[in-house]
Amino acid sequence: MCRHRLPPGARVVAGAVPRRSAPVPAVRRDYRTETLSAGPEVPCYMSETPVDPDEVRHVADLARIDLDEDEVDRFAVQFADILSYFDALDDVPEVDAEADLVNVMRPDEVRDGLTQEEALRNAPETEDGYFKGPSVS
Amino acid sequence: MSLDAFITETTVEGDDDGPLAGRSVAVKDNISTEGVRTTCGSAMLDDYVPPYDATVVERLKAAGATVVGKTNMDEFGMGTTTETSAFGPTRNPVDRSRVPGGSSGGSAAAVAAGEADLALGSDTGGSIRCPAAFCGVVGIKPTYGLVSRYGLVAYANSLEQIGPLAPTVESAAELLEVIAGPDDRDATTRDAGADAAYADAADGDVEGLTVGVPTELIEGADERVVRTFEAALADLEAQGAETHEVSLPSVERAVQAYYVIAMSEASSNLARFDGVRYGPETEGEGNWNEAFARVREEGFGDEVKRRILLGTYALSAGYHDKYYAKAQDARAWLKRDFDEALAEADVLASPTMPVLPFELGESLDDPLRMYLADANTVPVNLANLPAISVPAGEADGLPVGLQLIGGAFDERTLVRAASAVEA
Repeated sequence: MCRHRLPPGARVVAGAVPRRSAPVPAVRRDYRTETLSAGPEVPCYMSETPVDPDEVRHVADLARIDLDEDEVDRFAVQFADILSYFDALDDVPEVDAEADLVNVMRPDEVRDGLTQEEALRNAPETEDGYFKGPSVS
Repeated sequence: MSLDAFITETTVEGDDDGPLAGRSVAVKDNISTEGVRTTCGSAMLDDYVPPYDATVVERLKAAGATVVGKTNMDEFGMGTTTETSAFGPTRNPVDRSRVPGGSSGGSAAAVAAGEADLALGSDTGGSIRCPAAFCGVVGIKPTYGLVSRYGLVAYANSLEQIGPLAPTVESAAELLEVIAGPDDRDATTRDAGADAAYADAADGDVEGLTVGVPTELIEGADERVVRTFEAALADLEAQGAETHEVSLPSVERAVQAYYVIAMSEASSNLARFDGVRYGPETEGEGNWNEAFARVREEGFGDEVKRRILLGTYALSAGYHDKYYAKAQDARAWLKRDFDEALAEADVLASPTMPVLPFELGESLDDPLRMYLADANTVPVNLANLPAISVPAGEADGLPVGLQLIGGAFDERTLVRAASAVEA
């Protein structure tokens, strides 16, 4: 699937023929050298990101999703493809972003919420007005 | 043959009068409707019935609209074709062998086929604009913070907005008027949308309007799409608009940044689906973690699992700086590029989708190929900006959408410019 490992500046669009040697636009090079911290001259976009099935199992365990063996094998192949595409982020410059954030505060006040019955209505299992889950350990 | 635009059909009458009295509205199935099943296109929520309405649904009802059903969608909004739905695909009413786009494919198909007058969708990376383009209708992705997300089941909450789909720019703008505006139950909403008027801007007057055309969003697009787009642009020029090329180098990294951020947020947002408060019942063996993992194995489809796992990976120790932090840098870079381009132009124009609608089943086995189709829409979400997709014409009998991107909270200019495109 080498069509997904293209030089920065190249872009593949579904259904289109990959541009094998699309040039990096000049404007962008100016961007990098003039105003931004310099990255490596030739970003390491070819770096393989092999994903072995054990890694898929580990992440699935962290995410608490069981996978069967077929899924593990399929995801390992797809993840390698997708992660190597993500490698193009390596050459993104650091940008000083002004924080456009303001805390939104309000006083705490008592309001009507859901009744206990409403809150429990979608639960597969309840007991004495509580959600019922599996044992924790 | 049915299009399968709806997962659940219903009739919820709104108030007797209001700006949408007598009009039917289809609502995407990730927007909570009190007493009406809301599945998000997922087996995980197959029988979930929300105990409350989303703010936008309350506003629809107060405006006199009748909700006629909950529309099909890619599972939790994760897809570009509506094929990842646990309830099967929706067909494109223009050509039933093709997908309607996604993830709000049911909403676009319902409007295009006349099964609803108007529809609500949600747009995290193009999920309103893509199906609007593929089905030949109008779709608006509002500025982040214009429309309340209260009651929208979260996928990637820093990126998504609810917005309208409609047959015309003016009717889309009318629906936007109803749903826009601050909400004290969503602290990310802004005052900008209060009492805003959009529909009266659909006057087609583009005399002196400046339109920037980002070269990066044209390169690599299907030639037939580009030809249709350029003809629509020439028509705008004939009506008095001025166009010029602009360069947005950062968009070359937008798809990567979008997927890293969206997947990371998804891995956190979808942690709530543990089978305790809602979700399928499973056999009671094993401890909490084992039961949790089993419910999620059963309840989630492939694409949702993929995104949760990749998001978990991108946030995990040793990879956070390589993926998530760099994606945030790319997001800031994009915002700056858009600010600069919009300082020189009233709006930016591109094809909404670089491709014509896929055949059903064409892209399902190649997730990366599906992701790349979002190249022109995801930059807008990363930059928190508004955009509209308006029909630009047809190529090989299939609809082509033209996307207009505007400055934050400048939906009026988008409506005005788009109304000239459809004229």
